[in-house]
This record gives sequence, C-alpha cells and structure tokens, in this order.
Amino acid sequence: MISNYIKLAIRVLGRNKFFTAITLFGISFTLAILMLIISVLETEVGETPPLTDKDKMVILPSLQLKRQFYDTIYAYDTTMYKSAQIIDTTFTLKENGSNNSNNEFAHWFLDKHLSKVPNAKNYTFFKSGEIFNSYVNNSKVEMRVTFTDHRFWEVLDFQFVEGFGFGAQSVEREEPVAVITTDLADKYYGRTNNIIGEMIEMDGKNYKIMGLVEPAGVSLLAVDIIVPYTHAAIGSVRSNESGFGGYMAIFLGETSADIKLIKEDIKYINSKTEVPVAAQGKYDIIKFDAFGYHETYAGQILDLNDEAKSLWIMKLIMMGLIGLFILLPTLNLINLNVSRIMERSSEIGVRKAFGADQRVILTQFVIENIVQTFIGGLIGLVMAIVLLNVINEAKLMGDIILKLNLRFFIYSFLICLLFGLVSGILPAYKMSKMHVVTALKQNKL
Amino acid sequence: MIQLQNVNKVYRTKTIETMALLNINLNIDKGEFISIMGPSGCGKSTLLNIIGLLDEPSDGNVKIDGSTLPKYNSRDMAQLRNQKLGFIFQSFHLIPDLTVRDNVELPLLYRKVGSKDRKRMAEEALESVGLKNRISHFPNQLSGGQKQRVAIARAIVGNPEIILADEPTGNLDSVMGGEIMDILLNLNSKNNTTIIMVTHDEAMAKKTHKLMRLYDGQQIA
Repeated sequence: MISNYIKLAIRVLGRNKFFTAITLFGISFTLAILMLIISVLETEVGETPPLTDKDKMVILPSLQLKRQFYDTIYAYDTTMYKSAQIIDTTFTLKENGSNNSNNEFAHWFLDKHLSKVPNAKNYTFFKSGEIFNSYVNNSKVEMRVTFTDHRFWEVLDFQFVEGFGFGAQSVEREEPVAVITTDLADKYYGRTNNIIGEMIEMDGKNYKIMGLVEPAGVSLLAVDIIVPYTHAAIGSVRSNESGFGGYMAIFLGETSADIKLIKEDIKYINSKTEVPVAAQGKYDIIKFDAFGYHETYAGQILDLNDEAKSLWIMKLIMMGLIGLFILLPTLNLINLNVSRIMERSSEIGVRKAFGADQRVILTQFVIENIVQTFIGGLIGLVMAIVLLNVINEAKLMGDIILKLNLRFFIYSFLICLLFGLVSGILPAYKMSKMHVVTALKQNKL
Repeated sequence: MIQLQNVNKVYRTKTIETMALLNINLNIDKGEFISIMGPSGCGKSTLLNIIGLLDEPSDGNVKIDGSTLPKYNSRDMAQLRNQKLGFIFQSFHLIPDLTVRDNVELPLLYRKVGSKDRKRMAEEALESVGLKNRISHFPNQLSGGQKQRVAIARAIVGNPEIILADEPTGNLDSVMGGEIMDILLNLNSKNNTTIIMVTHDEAMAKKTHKLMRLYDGQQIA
C-alpha cells in the first residue's frame, strides 16, 4: 500500500506544477539552510578530525593568580549607662577589590603540576596564537605557529597527507623539524605533495618538514605550522617563573565519562598547588579550572567568564535558531498543505466510501507529505553542497572548513523526516476527520 | 438483506431544523434491484447514504443481514462498506491522479489483497464492462460513459453483495445511459447482486424490480 501512496504522491506533485515548484522551493531552501547549520555544528562541535575524541577531552585553558584585599571597618558606638558613657567598638573584614592575573600557562608549570593527572589516558601541552611572516618570491606568507610536544599527534588525529608527526626524541633534542598544513604548503611551495624533507624558514630559523597535514578546519586549532616546543627562541615564555606563558593543555579520557573524573583530579591538584615562588609577592590565590571541549568552545565564542554558562547559552541560541528555521517554513507549509488537501476532499470521500478509515487516510497524506519533503530535501542537499563548497573555497568562515560526513547526511535525513511529519500531520488529521458525505459533496473530481 | 425501521434523519443548525427523512421503513431482499425516485431535495441521496453506511440516521434502525448496526464506529463502518458494498456516483468520482487500473483496485487495496491478485481482479472487472483496453489510461482521457463504466468496475471488483448507485446515468446521454443500465441489469441478473439506484429517469426505474417514491422526506409509494 505504501508504494501506491508514494506513486500517488509523485503524481500529485505533477498535477499543479506552479504550486509544486513554489512548495519545493520553500522546502529545499529551508532544508539547505538547516543542512548548512548542521554542517557548521558538525565541523565545530561534532566528532571530526583532528578532534574526533573531543567528547573525551578536557581542556585547561588558563591560570588565574589572585590577591584579595580586605578592609577593616570599625563601628564606634556610644551609649549612656547609669549616667556614664559606654563606648562600644566592633570591626568587620570586608572584601575591597582584588588583584587578578589571568593568562595561559608556562610550560614548566604544566609539566610540574599537571603531567600526572590520574584519570587522563593521555595529554598534550601546546601554545598557539603567534604569527610569523616569511617571504617567498617577494610575497608575504603568514604562518600561524603551534609549539607542542610529541603527544600532540596522539591526542589529536590530524589527517596526514605525507610523512608523520615529530616524536619525543625530536622534541628533547630541539630538532628543527616541522609539520605544516596543505594550505601553507600550497602558499609556500606552490604544491601540496612531495614536500617532505624540504626546508621552511620561520622567524629566521630553518625547519625541516617531516609531515604534511590537512588543515584542522576548526577555530580552536587554526594553525599552519607545528614545531617542537623546546626551541630556544621560545624558551623565555616556557620558563616564565610566575607560571604564565601561553600554553594550554588537553587531557584525554578513556571514555566521555572520564571527563568528570579528570576535572575532579585537576580540582584536587589545584587545591594542593601553591602560588609559584616568583609570584608569591603579588598573589596568594591560585586557580585553574578545567572544562569539557564544548564548554571551552562556547566560552571562546561568547566570551563570557563562565564557560559552563556559555555552553548553556550557546545551546539555547542554536536550538532557538534551528527551531525558528523549522517553525516558520513549517507553518507556511501547513497552510499550503491544507489548501492542497482541501482540493482533494472529494478523493477522501471516495476512499472512505470504499473502505479507508481515518487512520488509513492520515497515513496516506502524511506519507505523501514526507515524499514531497524528501524530494525537496534532495534538492536542498544539492543546494547545501554547492553553498558549502562556495563557503569553503572563498573562506567565508575564516579558518572553519565545513565538512560533509555520514552524520551530516543522517541528521539531514532526520530533519527532512521531522519537517515532513510536522507539516503533514495537522492538515492530514484535519482532512481524515472529514465526514464522508461532506467530503463527497465538495468539489468534483 | 437490508432493513430500515422507522428511520428519521434531521439536519440541525442553531436556528433551523430540517427533516430530511421521516419514518422510513424499507425491506430489501437479496438479489433485488430497487430504484428510488422523487424530486430534487426530497431525501433520495440521504436515504442512499444511510443504506450505504456513509451517514447515520438520527432515529431508527438499520439492519444488514439481520443484525442491527450497533454504533457508527468509523473503523467498523469502513470495513463493512469495504466488504459488502460498492458505490457508483453520478459524477463518477474517479481519482484523477490514478490510472484506470489503480482506480478500480482501490477497494481491494483497503482489503489488503496482494498486488498480483489486485491486478488480475481489476482486469476481470474492467473486462466485464468492456474497458480492458483502457487499463493504463487516466480518467481525463476517457469519455463520460467510459468513466462511469470504470466506476462500475470499481464498484464490482470486490464482488460486493450490494451496489448503491446514485443517479448513475444522470450525467450521460441516453445511449450511454442505456448501456450503463444494461450493465447494471446484467450484474443483477447474472451475479444476483442487490442494487439500489437513485434515479430521475422513469424509463430506467421501470426496468427495476421495485420502485420507491419519496416526497419531502416521506415514503409515498
């Protein structure tokens, strides 16, 4: 019976071509936009390389050193008792401002206090954000650099096109080796293959390329070149005695359930850690909070001090946007569907006369609507893929490279289904309830 | 086979109450061909709808095969219509997006007959009305007479015991109307199918076994 409904749905679409074209345009445009939103979310917060394990990751972004100032407030009170003046004085301590410093970590600090987090299966410390310029054939090539350890390649699954990441020995021996992205290879060498063993100049120093990777395509890891953290040029930042120095840490759990345990471990370590000696003259409170990947990501985007709150707000905004994008066209489609089905009330009467009950009619029209939505969805998918390529080619979203993967197609399929169901059920229900005699008296077939 | 006992039908609005049928008593035996006549608005179609389980009487009983219909539950009624009844409408009511075959298969679809059997039964029904060669056509490619023959094929494809025809020749010229009437008479005599037909045509009515006349919702003959 379902195949009959599908066959009929396709024929009904051909009945009023102008009406069908308008409906399909509405559906496909809506779904294309929704698919783009899915792609952005999937790229930024979904499980895509090099952050496939982001659900198991805990990020330690920064160190806070603080000194709290207190004021003593005296209350001077006098009362008369038996003609004598009694003086009563009390005092309270009240917070009166604080001296705060908040920055990423020095490498030695992470190494000393956070290299043995009990529930972390693996970890990496890295420093990003510095940009160096190099000149190739008189044109400037900008290089965003990340300094890190050999575990970087274990925690993050960068996609290697050629070669591999540097190991522990290269880091220890301060070897001038580098892994670069295909984007940088293209700008620097004009090609994206056979570059292993080539030299690249950065900040007056030559590095030998030992790996070529696809760009991460996410804002957190916007990087062109990755080198061992041990190079002398950055030593001063590494060894800043106050504990600050531009590094952050990623800890990896065995499962996503470990995130909570790792956070507790870090909280415990924090409680046992003293302010670095060099900073003790200025600060007496030390604080470092760990966050799940998504919390940190939301914190970066919304720039609120509270990462957990940022995540909650971001989720709310995204849900609201998606809800709005679904709701408005759905209402429109419901309206269109009511008028489309009204035209077929006589058909409903005939079907009921020959034995279709309310449930059968409801199923028929919902299936028809889902078929229509999926045709619109297919057009929308083509539109979304084209738009996605345009956005990526023109770098309209900066470092974010929108990706297509199986989950993208599954989510898109589910959205089509939801859209079809929601916009079809109400009109179909309304019509399926129509009395058979009334339905037969409506417009002639 | 069909018994109507003291059937009344009243249409009520906030301000007005219209008696469409008043105290109708009717007994139709198996294999009977009965015609219902009367001026427009006298309640012929309402009566046919009640006999065809498309509408519910306001009062009175409808008995089919000796048992009173207890409640007009939409699902049970749909099943009864599907199993026992076939309908022919004045304006054919063929579904324009379906081919002739798909239109004829419709009652079998709701009876959950398999695709192969549906196809075979639809072909047989269309052959019996002389339209097997139009099986893949769409309704808009057929003449009025052909459309009504497709509608008859649809009504008989599931071998119902009762056929209800609401002015089946009303939209056709006399030649085509005559052809349709011949098919119905043939169906009644050969298959012993009970037929209840609403008509304005005295000549057609005279060919049936029994004639019932209605006037202002009341049975006058």
